Amino acid sequence: MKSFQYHAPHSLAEVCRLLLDHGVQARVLAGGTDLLVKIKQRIIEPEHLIALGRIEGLRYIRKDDKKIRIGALTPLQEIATSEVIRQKIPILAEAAEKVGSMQIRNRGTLGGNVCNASPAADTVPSLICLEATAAITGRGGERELPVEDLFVSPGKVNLQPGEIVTEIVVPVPNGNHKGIYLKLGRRKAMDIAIVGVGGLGCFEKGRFESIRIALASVAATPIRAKRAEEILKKQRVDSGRVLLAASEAASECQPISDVRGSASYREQMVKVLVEQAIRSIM
Amino acid sequence: MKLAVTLKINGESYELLVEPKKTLLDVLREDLGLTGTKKGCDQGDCGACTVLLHGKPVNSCLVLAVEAAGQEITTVEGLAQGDRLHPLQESFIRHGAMQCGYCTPGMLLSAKALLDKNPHPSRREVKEAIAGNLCRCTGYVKIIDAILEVPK
Repeated sequence: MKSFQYHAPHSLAEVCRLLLDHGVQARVLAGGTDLLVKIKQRIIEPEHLIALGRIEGLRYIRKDDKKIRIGALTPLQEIATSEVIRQKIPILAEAAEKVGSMQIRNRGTLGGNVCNASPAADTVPSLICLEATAAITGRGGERELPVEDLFVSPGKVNLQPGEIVTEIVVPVPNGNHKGIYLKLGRRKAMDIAIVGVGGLGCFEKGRFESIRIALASVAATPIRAKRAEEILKKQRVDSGRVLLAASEAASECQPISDVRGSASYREQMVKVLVEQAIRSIM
Repeated sequence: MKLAVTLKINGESYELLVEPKKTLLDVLREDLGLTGTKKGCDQGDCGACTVLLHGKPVNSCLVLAVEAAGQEITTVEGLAQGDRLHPLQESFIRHGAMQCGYCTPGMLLSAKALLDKNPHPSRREVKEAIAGNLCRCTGYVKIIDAILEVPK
Protein backbone atom coordinates (compact mmCIF):
# COMPACT_ATOMS: atom_id res chain seq x y z
CA MET A 1 0.00 0.00 0.00
CA LYS A 2 1.09 3.54 -0.59
CA SER A 3 1.79 5.34 2.66
CA PHE A 4 -0.71 7.74 4.13
CA GLN A 5 -1.04 9.94 7.15
CA TYR A 6 -3.37 8.45 9.70
CA HIS A 7 -5.64 10.65 11.76
CA ALA A 8 -7.77 9.39 14.62
CA PRO A 9 -10.02 12.28 15.61
CA HIS A 10 -12.21 12.14 18.68
CA SER A 11 -15.02 14.38 17.50
CA LEU A 12 -17.16 14.92 14.45
CA ALA A 13 -16.04 18.54 14.32
CA GLU A 14 -12.47 17.35 13.98
CA VAL A 15 -13.47 14.95 11.20
CA CYS A 16 -15.14 17.73 9.24
CA ARG A 17 -12.17 20.03 9.75
CA LEU A 18 -9.73 17.36 8.56
CA LEU A 19 -11.88 16.62 5.53
CA LEU A 20 -11.98 20.30 4.60
CA ASP A 21 -8.25 20.72 5.23
CA HIS A 22 -7.22 17.83 3.03
CA GLY A 23 -10.01 17.77 0.44
CA VAL A 24 -9.70 15.10 -2.20
CA GLN A 25 -6.49 13.80 -0.66
CA ALA A 26 -8.41 12.50 2.34
CA ARG A 27 -10.69 9.52 2.82
CA VAL A 28 -12.78 8.52 5.78
CA LEU A 29 -12.03 5.09 7.30
CA ALA A 30 -14.88 3.16 8.89
CA GLY A 31 -14.66 -0.65 8.74
CA GLY A 32 -12.10 -0.56 5.96
CA THR A 33 -13.52 -3.52 4.06
CA ASP A 34 -14.03 -1.47 0.91
CA LEU A 35 -11.55 1.36 1.40
CA LEU A 36 -8.49 -0.71 2.20
CA VAL A 37 -9.19 -3.05 -0.70
CA LYS A 38 -9.31 -0.06 -3.05
CA ILE A 39 -6.07 1.30 -1.64
CA LYS A 40 -4.35 -2.08 -1.94
CA GLN A 41 -5.49 -2.32 -5.56
CA ARG A 42 -4.28 1.22 -6.23
CA ILE A 43 -7.74 2.27 -7.35
CA ILE A 44 -7.37 5.18 -4.95
CA GLU A 45 -4.27 6.44 -3.18
CA PRO A 46 -5.31 8.89 -0.49
CA GLU A 47 -2.62 10.80 1.34
CA HIS A 48 -4.73 11.06 4.48
CA LEU A 49 -6.95 8.53 6.19
CA ILE A 50 -9.39 9.88 8.74
CA ALA A 51 -10.30 7.02 11.02
CA LEU A 52 -13.71 7.24 12.66
CA GLY A 53 -13.20 4.45 15.18
CA ARG A 54 -12.39 6.69 18.13
CA ILE A 55 -15.49 8.82 17.83
CA GLU A 56 -18.01 7.99 20.50
CA GLY A 57 -21.64 7.55 19.76
CA LEU A 58 -21.76 6.49 16.11
CA ARG A 59 -22.48 2.85 16.74
CA TYR A 60 -26.01 2.08 17.91
CA ILE A 61 -29.42 0.77 16.98
CA ARG A 62 -32.23 2.67 18.69
CA LYS A 63 -35.92 2.57 18.35
CA ASP A 64 -38.06 5.45 19.43
CA ASP A 65 -41.73 5.75 18.80
CA LYS A 66 -41.90 5.68 15.01
CA LYS A 67 -38.32 5.39 13.82
CA ILE A 68 -35.29 3.18 14.06
CA ARG A 69 -32.02 5.08 14.15
CA ILE A 70 -28.82 3.32 13.22
CA GLY A 71 -25.44 4.87 13.82
CA ALA A 72 -23.33 5.02 10.68
CA LEU A 73 -20.54 3.01 12.29
CA THR A 74 -22.76 0.06 13.25
CA PRO A 75 -21.25 -3.14 11.83
CA LEU A 76 -23.39 -5.05 9.35
CA GLN A 77 -23.35 -8.20 11.48
CA GLU A 78 -24.94 -6.27 14.33
CA ILE A 79 -27.65 -5.09 11.97
CA ALA A 80 -28.18 -8.62 10.63
CA THR A 81 -28.68 -10.04 14.13
CA SER A 82 -30.39 -7.12 15.88
CA GLU A 83 -33.62 -8.16 17.55
CA VAL A 84 -35.35 -4.87 16.86
CA ILE A 85 -34.30 -4.79 13.20
CA ARG A 86 -35.28 -8.39 12.58
CA GLN A 87 -38.68 -7.71 14.10
CA LYS A 88 -39.54 -4.28 12.73
CA ILE A 89 -37.58 -3.90 9.49
CA PRO A 90 -36.43 -7.42 8.60
CA ILE A 91 -35.78 -6.44 4.97
CA LEU A 92 -32.70 -4.60 6.22
CA ALA A 93 -31.42 -7.53 8.31
CA GLU A 94 -31.97 -9.79 5.31
CA ALA A 95 -29.83 -7.54 3.16
CA ALA A 96 -27.09 -6.97 5.76
CA GLU A 97 -26.57 -10.68 6.30
CA LYS A 98 -26.01 -11.20 2.59
CA VAL A 99 -22.99 -8.91 2.50
CA GLY A 100 -19.67 -10.68 2.14
CA SER A 101 -18.83 -13.03 4.94
CA MET A 102 -18.88 -13.03 8.72
CA GLN A 103 -15.41 -11.52 8.72
CA ILE A 104 -16.47 -8.69 6.44
CA ARG A 105 -19.71 -8.05 8.31
CA ASN A 106 -17.91 -7.80 11.65
CA ARG A 107 -15.98 -4.79 10.36
CA GLY A 108 -18.01 -3.32 7.49
CA THR A 109 -20.49 -0.67 8.59
CA LEU A 110 -23.88 0.51 7.37
CA GLY A 111 -22.55 3.99 6.72
CA GLY A 112 -19.66 2.49 4.79
CA ASN A 113 -21.86 0.24 2.67
CA VAL A 114 -23.97 3.27 1.76
CA CYS A 115 -21.23 5.87 1.28
CA ASN A 116 -18.96 3.55 -0.69
CA ALA A 117 -21.72 4.07 -3.25
CA SER A 118 -21.31 0.88 -5.16
CA PRO A 119 -24.38 0.36 -7.36
CA ALA A 120 -24.29 -3.19 -6.00
CA ALA A 121 -24.48 -2.22 -2.32
CA ASP A 122 -26.74 -4.78 -0.70
CA THR A 123 -28.22 -2.63 2.07
CA VAL A 124 -29.31 0.15 -0.24
CA PRO A 125 -32.35 -1.36 -2.00
CA SER A 126 -33.77 -2.18 1.44
CA LEU A 127 -33.06 1.33 2.70
CA ILE A 128 -34.71 2.82 -0.38
CA CYS A 129 -37.78 0.60 0.04
CA LEU A 130 -37.94 1.65 3.68
CA GLU A 131 -37.72 5.36 2.73
CA ALA A 132 -34.69 5.70 4.98
CA THR A 133 -32.92 9.01 5.33
CA ALA A 134 -29.28 9.79 6.02
CA ALA A 135 -28.30 12.28 8.70
CA ILE A 136 -25.34 14.29 7.43
CA THR A 137 -22.97 16.45 9.47
CA GLY A 138 -20.68 19.10 8.02
CA ARG A 139 -19.05 22.34 9.01
CA GLY A 140 -22.22 24.15 8.13
CA GLY A 141 -24.33 22.05 10.44
CA GLU A 142 -26.62 19.10 9.94
CA ARG A 143 -28.99 18.06 7.22
CA GLU A 144 -30.99 15.03 6.13
CA LEU A 145 -31.25 13.45 2.73
CA PRO A 146 -33.29 10.46 1.59
CA VAL A 147 -30.92 7.55 1.00
CA GLU A 148 -32.48 7.31 -2.45
CA ASP A 149 -31.01 10.73 -3.29
CA LEU A 150 -27.54 10.03 -1.98
CA PHE A 151 -26.03 8.46 -5.07
CA VAL A 152 -24.43 10.34 -7.92
CA SER A 153 -22.42 7.71 -9.78
CA PRO A 154 -20.41 4.58 -8.95
CA GLY A 155 -18.33 5.42 -5.89
CA LYS A 156 -19.69 8.93 -5.55
CA VAL A 157 -22.13 10.16 -2.91
CA ASN A 158 -24.01 13.40 -2.80
CA LEU A 159 -21.98 14.93 0.01
CA GLN A 160 -20.37 18.35 0.14
CA PRO A 161 -16.71 18.72 1.07
CA GLY A 162 -16.36 18.25 4.80
CA GLU A 163 -19.55 16.24 5.25
CA ILE A 164 -20.07 12.74 6.55
CA VAL A 165 -23.09 10.56 7.15
CA THR A 166 -23.57 9.97 10.86
CA GLU A 167 -26.85 8.09 11.06
CA ILE A 168 -29.43 6.27 9.00
CA VAL A 169 -33.01 6.87 10.07
CA VAL A 170 -35.69 4.36 9.13
CA PRO A 171 -39.38 5.02 9.66
CA VAL A 172 -40.99 1.83 10.92
CA PRO A 173 -43.53 0.55 8.41
CA ASN A 174 -46.86 -0.54 9.83
CA GLY A 175 -47.32 -4.17 10.71
CA ASN A 176 -49.03 -5.17 7.48
CA HIS A 177 -45.95 -4.55 5.39
CA LYS A 178 -43.92 -7.40 3.99
CA GLY A 179 -40.49 -7.07 2.48
CA ILE A 180 -37.82 -9.13 0.82
CA TYR A 181 -34.29 -8.67 -0.49
CA LEU A 182 -33.16 -11.01 -3.23
CA LYS A 183 -29.51 -11.19 -4.22
CA LEU A 184 -28.45 -12.99 -7.36
CA GLY A 185 -24.97 -14.38 -7.22
CA ARG A 186 -23.00 -17.48 -8.01
CA ARG A 187 -22.34 -18.21 -4.37
CA LYS A 188 -24.37 -17.85 -1.22
CA ALA A 189 -21.68 -15.66 0.33
CA MET A 190 -18.68 -13.56 -0.65
CA ASP A 191 -20.23 -12.37 -3.88
CA ILE A 192 -21.07 -8.98 -5.28
CA ALA A 193 -24.68 -8.99 -6.45
CA ILE A 194 -25.21 -9.64 -10.15
CA VAL A 195 -28.66 -8.22 -9.53
CA GLY A 196 -30.20 -7.13 -6.24
CA VAL A 197 -33.93 -6.64 -5.76
CA GLY A 198 -35.64 -5.13 -2.74
CA GLY A 199 -39.41 -5.12 -2.47
CA LEU A 200 -41.57 -3.75 0.32
CA GLY A 201 -45.31 -3.42 0.27
CA CYS A 202 -48.64 -3.62 2.00
CA PHE A 203 -50.91 -6.07 0.17
CA GLU A 204 -54.49 -6.27 1.34
CA LYS A 205 -57.59 -7.71 -0.27
CA GLY A 206 -55.96 -8.23 -3.61
CA ARG A 207 -54.43 -4.74 -3.85
CA PHE A 208 -51.15 -3.08 -2.98
CA GLU A 209 -51.89 -0.18 -0.66
CA SER A 210 -48.22 0.66 -1.01
CA ILE A 211 -45.35 -0.87 -2.92
CA ARG A 212 -41.73 0.06 -3.41
CA ILE A 213 -39.23 -1.79 -5.53
CA ALA A 214 -35.52 -0.94 -5.59
CA LEU A 215 -32.76 -2.47 -7.70
CA ALA A 216 -29.03 -2.90 -7.22
CA SER A 217 -26.30 -3.60 -9.76
CA VAL A 218 -28.37 -2.68 -12.80
CA ALA A 219 -27.61 1.01 -13.25
CA ALA A 220 -24.94 3.54 -12.35
CA THR A 221 -26.60 3.90 -8.96
CA PRO A 222 -29.20 1.90 -7.03
CA ILE A 223 -32.58 2.77 -8.54
CA ARG A 224 -36.26 2.52 -7.89
CA ALA A 225 -38.51 0.77 -10.34
CA LYS A 226 -41.14 3.50 -10.25
CA ARG A 227 -43.01 2.50 -13.39
CA ALA A 228 -43.27 -1.05 -12.11
CA GLU A 229 -44.67 0.31 -8.86
CA GLU A 230 -47.29 2.34 -10.70
CA ILE A 231 -48.51 -0.75 -12.50
CA LEU A 232 -49.07 -2.46 -9.16
CA LYS A 233 -50.61 0.35 -7.18
CA LYS A 234 -54.19 0.76 -6.19
CA GLN A 235 -55.82 -1.81 -8.40
CA ARG A 236 -56.45 -5.53 -8.25
CA VAL A 237 -53.24 -7.42 -8.82
CA ASP A 238 -53.36 -10.72 -10.61
CA SER A 239 -50.66 -12.88 -12.16
CA GLY A 240 -50.75 -10.93 -15.40
CA ARG A 241 -50.23 -7.64 -13.64
CA VAL A 242 -47.32 -9.03 -11.66
CA LEU A 243 -45.61 -10.14 -14.88
CA LEU A 244 -46.31 -6.79 -16.46
CA ALA A 245 -44.75 -4.98 -13.52
CA ALA A 246 -41.73 -7.26 -13.60
CA SER A 247 -41.22 -6.62 -17.32
CA GLU A 248 -41.55 -2.91 -16.76
CA ALA A 249 -38.92 -3.05 -14.01
CA ALA A 250 -36.58 -4.77 -16.44
CA SER A 251 -37.06 -1.94 -18.91
CA GLU A 252 -36.27 0.63 -16.20
CA CYS A 253 -32.80 -0.69 -15.56
CA GLN A 254 -29.65 0.22 -17.47
CA PRO A 255 -27.24 -2.58 -16.70
CA ILE A 256 -23.73 -2.94 -18.00
CA SER A 257 -21.92 -6.07 -19.05
CA ASP A 258 -19.08 -6.93 -16.73
CA VAL A 259 -17.24 -9.91 -15.35
CA ARG A 260 -20.28 -10.94 -13.31
CA GLY A 261 -22.82 -10.93 -16.10
CA SER A 262 -23.92 -9.46 -19.38
CA ALA A 263 -26.33 -6.56 -19.60
CA SER A 264 -28.92 -8.73 -21.30
CA TYR A 265 -28.65 -11.42 -18.63
CA ARG A 266 -29.08 -8.82 -15.91
CA GLU A 267 -32.12 -7.40 -17.64
CA GLN A 268 -33.69 -10.83 -17.85
CA MET A 269 -32.89 -11.57 -14.23
CA VAL A 270 -34.45 -8.30 -13.08
CA LYS A 271 -37.70 -9.52 -14.59
CA VAL A 272 -37.41 -12.91 -12.90
CA LEU A 273 -36.43 -11.56 -9.49
CA VAL A 274 -38.90 -8.69 -9.43
CA GLU A 275 -41.67 -11.17 -10.16
CA GLN A 276 -40.39 -13.38 -7.34
CA ALA A 277 -40.16 -10.43 -4.98
CA ILE A 278 -43.67 -9.18 -5.72
CA ARG A 279 -45.18 -12.61 -5.24
CA SER A 280 -43.40 -13.12 -1.97
CA ILE A 281 -44.84 -9.96 -0.47
CA MET A 282 -48.38 -10.61 -1.65
CA MET B 1 6.01 8.26 10.31
CA LYS B 2 5.57 5.37 12.68
CA LEU B 3 2.96 5.33 15.40
CA ALA B 4 3.15 3.66 18.79
CA VAL B 5 0.53 1.01 19.37
CA THR B 6 -0.06 -1.60 22.04
CA LEU B 7 -1.62 -4.83 20.84
CA LYS B 8 -3.11 -7.48 23.13
CA ILE B 9 -2.67 -10.81 21.46
CA ASN B 10 -3.59 -14.13 23.05
CA GLY B 11 -3.52 -12.49 26.43
CA GLU B 12 -0.12 -10.81 26.07
CA SER B 13 0.66 -7.15 25.43
CA TYR B 14 3.06 -6.07 22.73
CA GLU B 15 4.29 -2.50 22.33
CA LEU B 16 5.21 -1.66 18.79
CA LEU B 17 6.11 1.15 16.44
CA VAL B 18 4.30 0.64 13.16
CA GLU B 19 3.63 2.53 9.98
CA PRO B 20 -0.08 3.39 9.74
CA LYS B 21 -0.43 1.48 6.49
CA LYS B 22 0.73 -1.77 8.06
CA THR B 23 -2.08 -4.29 8.46
CA LEU B 24 -2.59 -6.37 11.56
CA LEU B 25 -1.79 -9.39 9.41
CA ASP B 26 1.63 -8.05 8.48
CA VAL B 27 2.40 -6.99 12.03
CA LEU B 28 1.50 -10.44 13.35
CA ARG B 29 3.62 -12.23 10.81
CA GLU B 30 6.56 -9.86 10.31
CA ASP B 31 6.91 -7.88 13.50
CA LEU B 32 5.82 -10.53 15.97
CA GLY B 33 6.78 -13.76 14.22
CA LEU B 34 3.28 -15.13 14.76
CA THR B 35 3.12 -16.82 11.40
CA GLY B 36 0.17 -19.06 12.25
CA THR B 37 -2.09 -16.46 10.63
CA LYS B 38 -1.70 -16.81 6.88
CA LYS B 39 -1.71 -14.36 4.01
CA GLY B 40 -3.81 -15.63 1.10
CA CYS B 41 -5.40 -12.96 -1.04
CA ASP B 42 -4.55 -10.00 1.19
CA GLN B 43 -7.85 -8.37 0.27
CA GLY B 44 -10.53 -9.92 2.42
CA ASP B 45 -11.73 -12.59 0.01
CA CYS B 46 -10.21 -15.84 1.28
CA GLY B 47 -10.25 -15.73 5.09
CA ALA B 48 -6.81 -17.29 5.50
CA CYS B 49 -5.89 -14.26 7.60
CA THR B 50 -8.85 -14.63 9.96
CA VAL B 51 -8.20 -13.63 13.57
CA LEU B 52 -10.66 -12.92 16.35
CA LEU B 53 -11.16 -9.35 17.55
CA HIS B 54 -13.07 -9.46 20.83
CA GLY B 55 -14.09 -12.99 19.86
CA LYS B 56 -15.39 -11.97 16.43
CA PRO B 57 -13.78 -13.22 13.23
CA VAL B 58 -12.29 -10.53 11.01
CA ASN B 59 -9.93 -10.47 8.06
CA SER B 60 -6.69 -9.19 9.58
CA CYS B 61 -5.49 -8.11 6.13
CA LEU B 62 -8.19 -5.44 6.23
CA VAL B 63 -7.50 -4.22 9.76
CA LEU B 64 -4.78 -1.61 10.12
CA ALA B 65 -2.58 -2.51 13.08
CA VAL B 66 -3.16 0.95 14.53
CA GLU B 67 -6.89 0.26 14.46
CA ALA B 68 -6.50 -2.90 16.55
CA ALA B 69 -5.14 -1.13 19.60
CA GLY B 70 -6.94 -1.94 22.82
CA GLN B 71 -8.81 -4.92 21.44
CA GLU B 72 -8.48 -8.55 22.47
CA ILE B 73 -6.89 -10.32 19.55
CA THR B 74 -6.89 -14.10 19.29
CA THR B 75 -4.77 -15.89 16.74
CA VAL B 76 -4.42 -19.63 16.12
CA GLU B 77 -1.40 -19.61 18.42
CA GLY B 78 -3.79 -18.79 21.24
CA LEU B 79 -5.89 -21.92 20.88
CA ALA B 80 -3.66 -24.55 22.45
CA GLN B 81 -2.83 -24.29 26.14
CA GLY B 82 0.79 -25.37 26.22
CA ASP B 83 0.74 -28.97 25.06
CA ARG B 84 -3.00 -29.28 25.31
CA LEU B 85 -4.67 -28.75 21.96
CA HIS B 86 -8.02 -27.03 21.71
CA PRO B 87 -10.90 -29.50 21.16
CA LEU B 88 -11.33 -28.06 17.66
CA GLN B 89 -7.71 -28.80 16.82
CA GLU B 90 -8.07 -32.36 18.11
CA SER B 91 -11.23 -32.87 16.14
CA PHE B 92 -9.60 -31.53 12.94
CA ILE B 93 -6.77 -34.04 13.40
CA ARG B 94 -9.16 -36.93 14.09
CA HIS B 95 -11.20 -36.12 11.00
CA GLY B 96 -8.32 -35.39 8.68
CA ALA B 97 -9.69 -31.91 8.08
CA MET B 98 -6.35 -30.53 6.84
CA GLN B 99 -4.37 -31.17 3.69
CA CYS B 100 -1.99 -28.32 3.01
CA GLY B 101 -3.10 -26.64 6.22
CA TYR B 102 -3.10 -23.12 4.85
CA CYS B 103 -6.79 -22.40 5.44
CA THR B 104 -6.74 -24.22 8.76
CA PRO B 105 -5.86 -21.42 11.19
CA GLY B 106 -8.64 -19.28 9.72
CA MET B 107 -11.08 -22.19 9.78
CA LEU B 108 -10.26 -22.96 13.42
CA LEU B 109 -10.89 -19.39 14.50
CA SER B 110 -14.12 -19.00 12.55
CA ALA B 111 -15.24 -22.29 14.08
CA LYS B 112 -14.21 -21.25 17.57
CA ALA B 113 -16.17 -18.02 17.24
CA LEU B 114 -19.22 -20.01 16.15
CA LEU B 115 -19.04 -22.59 18.94
CA ASP B 116 -18.41 -19.94 21.59
CA LYS B 117 -21.67 -18.30 20.60
CA ASN B 118 -23.67 -21.31 19.42
CA PRO B 119 -22.40 -24.50 21.07
CA HIS B 120 -24.70 -26.81 19.08
CA PRO B 121 -24.83 -25.48 15.55
CA SER B 122 -26.59 -27.18 12.68
CA ARG B 123 -24.62 -28.26 9.63
CA ARG B 124 -26.00 -25.24 7.82
CA GLU B 125 -24.91 -22.88 10.57
CA VAL B 126 -21.41 -24.28 10.38
CA LYS B 127 -21.34 -23.72 6.62
CA GLU B 128 -22.51 -20.15 7.11
CA ALA B 129 -19.88 -19.56 9.77
CA ILE B 130 -17.03 -20.69 7.50
CA ALA B 131 -18.44 -19.16 4.31
CA GLY B 132 -15.66 -16.59 4.47
CA ASN B 133 -12.90 -19.19 4.67
CA LEU B 134 -11.88 -20.73 1.37
CA CYS B 135 -10.24 -24.16 1.15
CA ARG B 136 -8.63 -25.35 -2.06
CA CYS B 137 -7.75 -28.83 -0.89
CA THR B 138 -10.33 -30.62 1.19
CA GLY B 139 -13.74 -29.89 -0.29
CA TYR B 140 -14.89 -28.71 3.15
CA VAL B 141 -16.77 -31.87 4.18
CA LYS B 142 -14.26 -33.06 6.76
CA ILE B 143 -13.84 -29.54 8.09
CA ILE B 144 -17.57 -29.30 8.70
CA ASP B 145 -17.65 -32.80 10.21
CA ALA B 146 -14.79 -31.90 12.52
CA ILE B 147 -16.51 -28.75 13.73
CA LEU B 148 -19.82 -30.56 14.32
CA GLU B 149 -18.09 -33.27 16.31
CA VAL B 150 -16.71 -30.93 18.95
CA PRO B 151 -19.91 -30.40 20.95
CA LYS B 152 -20.33 -34.16 21.23
